[in-house]
Amino acid sequence: MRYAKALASMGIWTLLAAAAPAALSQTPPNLQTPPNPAPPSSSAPPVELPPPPPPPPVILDAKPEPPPVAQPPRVAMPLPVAVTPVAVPVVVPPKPTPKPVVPPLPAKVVVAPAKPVVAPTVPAAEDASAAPDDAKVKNGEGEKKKHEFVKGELASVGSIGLVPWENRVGAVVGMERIGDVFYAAITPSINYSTELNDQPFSMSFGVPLRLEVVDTRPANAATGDAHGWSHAGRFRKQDWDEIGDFAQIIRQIQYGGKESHLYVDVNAFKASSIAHGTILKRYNPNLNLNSRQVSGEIDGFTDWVGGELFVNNVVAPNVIGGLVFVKPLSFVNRQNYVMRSFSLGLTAVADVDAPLRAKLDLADVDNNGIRERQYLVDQNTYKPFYTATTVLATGIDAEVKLVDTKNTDWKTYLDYSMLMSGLPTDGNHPVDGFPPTRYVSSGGLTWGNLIRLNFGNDTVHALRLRAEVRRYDQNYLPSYFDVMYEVQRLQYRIGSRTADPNGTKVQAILGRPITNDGAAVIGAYFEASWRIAEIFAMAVGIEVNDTEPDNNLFVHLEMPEYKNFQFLATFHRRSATTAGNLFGFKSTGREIFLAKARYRVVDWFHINAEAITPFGIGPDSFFANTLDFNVNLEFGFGYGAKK
Amino acid sequence: MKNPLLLPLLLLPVFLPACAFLEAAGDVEIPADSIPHAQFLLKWPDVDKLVGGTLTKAGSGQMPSSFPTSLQDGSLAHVQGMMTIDGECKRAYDQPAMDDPKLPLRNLHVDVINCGIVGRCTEACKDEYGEPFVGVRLWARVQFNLVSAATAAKITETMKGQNNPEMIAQIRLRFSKLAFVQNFTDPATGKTSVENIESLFSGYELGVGTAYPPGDPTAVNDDTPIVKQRYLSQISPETPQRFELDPTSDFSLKLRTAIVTGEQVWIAVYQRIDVPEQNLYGVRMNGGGVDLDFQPEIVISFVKTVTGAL
Repeated sequence: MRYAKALASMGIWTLLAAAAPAALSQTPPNLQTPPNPAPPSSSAPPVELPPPPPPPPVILDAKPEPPPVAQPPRVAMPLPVAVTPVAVPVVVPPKPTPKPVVPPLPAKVVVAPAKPVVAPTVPAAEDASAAPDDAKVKNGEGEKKKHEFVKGELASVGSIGLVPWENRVGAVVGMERIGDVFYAAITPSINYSTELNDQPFSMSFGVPLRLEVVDTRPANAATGDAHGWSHAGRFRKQDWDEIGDFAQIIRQIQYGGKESHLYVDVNAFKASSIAHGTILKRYNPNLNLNSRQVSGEIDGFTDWVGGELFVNNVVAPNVIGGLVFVKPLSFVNRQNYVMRSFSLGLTAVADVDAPLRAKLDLADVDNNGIRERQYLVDQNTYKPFYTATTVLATGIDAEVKLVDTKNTDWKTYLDYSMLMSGLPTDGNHPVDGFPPTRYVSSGGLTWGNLIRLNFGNDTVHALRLRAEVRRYDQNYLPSYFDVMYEVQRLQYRIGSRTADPNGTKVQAILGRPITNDGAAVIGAYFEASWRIAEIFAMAVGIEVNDTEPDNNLFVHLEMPEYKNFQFLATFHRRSATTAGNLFGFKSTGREIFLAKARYRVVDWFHINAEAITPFGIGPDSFFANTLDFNVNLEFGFGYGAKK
Repeated sequence: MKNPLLLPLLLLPVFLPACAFLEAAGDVEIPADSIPHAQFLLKWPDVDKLVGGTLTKAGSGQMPSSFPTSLQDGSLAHVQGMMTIDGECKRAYDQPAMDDPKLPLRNLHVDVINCGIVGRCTEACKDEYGEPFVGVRLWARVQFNLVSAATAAKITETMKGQNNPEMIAQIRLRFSKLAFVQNFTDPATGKTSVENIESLFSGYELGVGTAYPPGDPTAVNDDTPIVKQRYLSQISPETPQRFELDPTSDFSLKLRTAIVTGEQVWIAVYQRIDVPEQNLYGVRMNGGGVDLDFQPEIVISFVKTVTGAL
């Protein structure tokens, strides 16, 4: 309440009965099971797993490792699970498909990383009759529990939305706000999941249609537009007036898993990381809720080389990143897990449209009298205008596995990354247009360890620990492309509630004054995730340093399913000036709070509620985290036979 | 309808939008007809009064032979020359009451700052980027009755007796005219017209601050800029422009607190222009001034009152 009061007292308490597009049509009844190992059908005999041999597991964290050729059973056996990318928020699982009895599983099986926001709903009375077998399988009845080594992201930290239900068609109805304008929104949606070439394949589509309700901007004498209710009922043409707009019908198209030889993911909700995350970690291109982007990722690897490619927008990407790696010692000995796991990688991520200097609303286009405290914003799209440049980050890394046992997995890595761009040199006399710039670069070294532990048999407890020590330049920022990059790229010190044209992230980081004779910054990162099967997941992370005001914290909690109720909550505090400020009660204005709940009223009707602090350009025309309460209605029905 | 919650839940998004619009709908602008429209020509002081009746403090014997005996038709170049002879950085002029008593103005104070003396007046003669400025800076400050007694009563009525300064979401001025003008006599026809001299100066700034009584030793500078030079060309009767008072400024808090008391409120309005040396001959004091036409606006938010209690 204290937090709410702080926000409300700033006049930013907006109660919305509308969900942002990301939240629309995304909380289906049976949604959000990641492409976990496809459970055997009820007709398949329970698989008695032999004692697991001690093979080197297939590790798919930053870089997938090929199974060793010297161990035919493991080489020949396709992974019975699909691994979704890191921090995939909610993943529609493939329908459980009858499978032949699988050969003995390796001791370690990588499962879908992020526990879905909402697990498959346990069929209630109405559903149970329709899918009793599924219900049994999902409850673990009729099959013997498998001991799986759980890896990957254990919680869906960084995601902002929910993927629609599987094999279901319907619509979500609600209201939403874009900038100062409120819309009635209806999103017809359809979702389908299956298997293709023994790999999970799921698709989800939605068509957001918006009708204006009220425009709260003051009347504009210059244009003669009275705003207000004068355009009530008008279809929002801006949603569909460009070719690229049609990409927004894609909620998700996913093939394979993160550890498959081929993995394709086109997604409108997820957060993404590349390599160890030292350059791009949990970046979510949709944190600015005034815009929707469909990101894309393609991973592929062979036994000796591999790579990842990420774009934040499949139609018009501006953040583009990739990783290529080679495992040179695999040529020498692929049976020794140390040699086989050793890899050398090269990472590069660029924002080719990075805001260098924001433009201010000097012409008062929204006619509210606020000029130098507001960004210049397109009054139709609510996207800010700015002078753009390119920010490039590159890195090299090496990693090796130190421990590899049945229940424990420990790898260590060393990573050096650089950040490069140009900074304005026009000082106190800013020029119009693109300013003269000078080249600036900085770098940082990271030594990290990733430890994964599994406990329990019937109910597997998975624990994932990541610890890093960093040494970097004062004008460098580890994980520059982070969870808040999409909004901080224009306004780094969000929370000051003042539009600073030179407050862009590239200027705020690379342009930092060097003090203390350029002494290096010493920092640390620690993250822990804990997951109990499909019941519960939580994660905490902290990132601190001894010099710069870039201390971060997150706490995440998931209860995928409790009767008809589902819940997820994430809290981020970003860019705190000191480590101590991470734990204070006072809001810094750079928090992300996301709480989503879903209640199944009847089969054909669900109600979704969320309390979120979205970052968007609102009435104040600068990025701020407003506290919004959204409610929308979800109508739909399943189709097709459940597999 | 098996589930008793079904109907209420179905209706929930219908009612919640009302909450969504609450903030926007809760913003009430004090009607324009409740706050007097301000329209007047703020003239520069009579130049001979400005110089105190004698062109220089040293007397006419110090003047160059070609120097006029009166500056009625003189330009700022002459004023600067006169001040340079006297070695002055600044001359001040005070006019406690306006010539037209109906104007909601009082206590006009004008400073003419000579920025032509190298090595002197340096602190007072820096431009907005902190760079040295050479020429003449005109600085005028006048007290303006922003909230009259009648307006105060209307505000009190609108706020329904509450006196929470947080309720005032925005204070802004809507300008239909803001132009620096001077009389121009065509030497060929002898006809006099009014010309805009915006192109002859730079660094324009209009701002507001606390209206202290003249000579108040407790006065604290809380001037807050509102209009700058870049906006002048946007303002016209056909394209009126709004400018808000920065709500984060110290003066804004003082002003909001004063407004909710229900008393009439005077504020100080200042204006500044920098006339560079090469344009001094083109600017004349007499017959010139600032042509103003603006509407003060006060936006009251009732949502802030509600949410402030949370």
